[in-house]
Amino acid sequence: MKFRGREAFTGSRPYRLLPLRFRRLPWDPSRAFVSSMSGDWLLMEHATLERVIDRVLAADDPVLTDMEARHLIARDIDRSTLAPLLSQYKARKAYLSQGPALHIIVVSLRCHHTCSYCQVSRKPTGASSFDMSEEVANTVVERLFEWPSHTLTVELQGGEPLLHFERVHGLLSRIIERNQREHREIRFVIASTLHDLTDEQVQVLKTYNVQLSTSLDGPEALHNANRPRPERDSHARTLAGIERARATLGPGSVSALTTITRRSLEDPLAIIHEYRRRDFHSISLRPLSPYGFARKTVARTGYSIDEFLAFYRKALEIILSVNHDGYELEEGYASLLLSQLHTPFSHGYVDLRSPTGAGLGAVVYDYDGQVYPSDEARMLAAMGDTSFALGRVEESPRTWLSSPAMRRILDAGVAEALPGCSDCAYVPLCGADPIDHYARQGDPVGHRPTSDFCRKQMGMFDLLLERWELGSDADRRVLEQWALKAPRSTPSDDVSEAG
Amino acid sequence: MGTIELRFDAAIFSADVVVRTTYRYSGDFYTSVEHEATTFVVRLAPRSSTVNLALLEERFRTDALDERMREQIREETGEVHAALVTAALREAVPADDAGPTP
Repeated sequence: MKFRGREAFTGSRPYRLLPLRFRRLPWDPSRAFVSSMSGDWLLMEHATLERVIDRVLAADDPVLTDMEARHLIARDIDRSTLAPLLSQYKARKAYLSQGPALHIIVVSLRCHHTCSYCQVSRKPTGASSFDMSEEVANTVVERLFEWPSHTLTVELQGGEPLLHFERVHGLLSRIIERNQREHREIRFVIASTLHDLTDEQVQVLKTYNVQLSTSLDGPEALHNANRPRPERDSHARTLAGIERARATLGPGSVSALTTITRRSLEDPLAIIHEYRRRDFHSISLRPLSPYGFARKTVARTGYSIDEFLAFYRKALEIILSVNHDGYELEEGYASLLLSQLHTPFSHGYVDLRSPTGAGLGAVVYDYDGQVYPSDEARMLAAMGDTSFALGRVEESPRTWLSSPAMRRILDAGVAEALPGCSDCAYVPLCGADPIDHYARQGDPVGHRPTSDFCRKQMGMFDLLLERWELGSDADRRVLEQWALKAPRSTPSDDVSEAG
Repeated sequence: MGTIELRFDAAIFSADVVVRTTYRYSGDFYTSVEHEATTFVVRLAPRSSTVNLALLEERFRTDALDERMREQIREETGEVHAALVTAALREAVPADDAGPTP
């Protein structure tokens, strides 16, 4: 018996293009990142992509097999099905089916810090009129269970929520009590400086299995400069709080975020080594936001996104070398973007959702009973702009979702339909942030060529992809580990920062 | 640096392609697009003295050709793209008025 020639099995099978986008690689413009509508992708010669589109490749060219496997083309038109691509797309957008899972409750605006870059409208520690009342808190709990999501992350923040611990305790207790008949999966997070955290408070947090999110901006001098208290002991107080919490709640009970100020740009090594010294295995390098006090002090603390990306590039090298030394340390935002690149799953991070996560993935209940679709919307309101206020906690979620504010968000909330995003090869992995664009550019749709959000997202995707492609095998192993460890289809990565 | 002028044959480049390409440069440049008989005329004036002008015409023309490829892809796949999105998100449309409809 003799086999027929290879051409008998490949023939001149026609193929059709499936929806795809491409971007020339900044580090090698003769090649392109080519992505499917569901975010599957490959790197290929740009000239080859042209030949695929112009149908001048041989039918048995191996690149067609690669492209078919990634749903960039479909061969055997009569027999092929688009069901796998449809499933992949639905998996990527799975967050849409649940409704908001992240619920941020602002228990007080009081704070003992006077941070120059504070995003919120902090109030003095004695100003108890900026505390959430019991009546508002009880109504928030009722609203919480009106949403359909089975999994809820309840984040208590401020100001400094521990300054109003009575309300924190009351909310935890009431939510758990109510959940006896609701049977939701609930995760509690408190965003706090951890200053003045007491053993009694830690015992309460243990009862409710609360995770803590704090801010650690780096070594003592940098942290104290960024987060001043009259006593100049902010760093020492945060470390004491971390240790107290870890002693009772466990070593993984506290996560920390680093806000990057102009001063931070000078020394990524010191920041990263501080995290290692304090036994953290995750660091989140977060640029400044254009809200609250940060806007007023931008000339002193601010910098361009290009400067941030240059800092981030250096920091990533240092973090990779720390991992190569045997100490596991991941960068939080890189993990999220890498999980977008290397896994087919969705997750709840608001910046990476399209349609936007504002109001669809997260809801914020302010101390005074006002409801917002995101913390950024609350910050804008604190600055006097209530464009994105959804309503009051006494109203129903249905009323909030049909509010003019929500309609305005949705009009600009689908990245795939935005100018500059619609053809971007990263859009299946990225998101829309209409409130950020409104805050920075005065327009929820925004102008992508001058958008800091877009520049940051593109810059980060480019950097991580470049590092992944050009790095050593050891680099790739570390980056892929981060991708696989990142949370999926949960909002657990979506907690905000301590005040 | 004054205004840079680029001309595109309207038989090869559609208005959509020329406008989409120009949009990409609208962060660094004041831009205009005009249609003159069989040609699109693009004018770019740098917004500041720090704008990178190296190989500007070459970069712009390469980007225009890429936009032309994207147009070709959109024409060929637009229908199936719309059908897939509709099918995927159908279940996100509320079936009744029983509760919140995110």
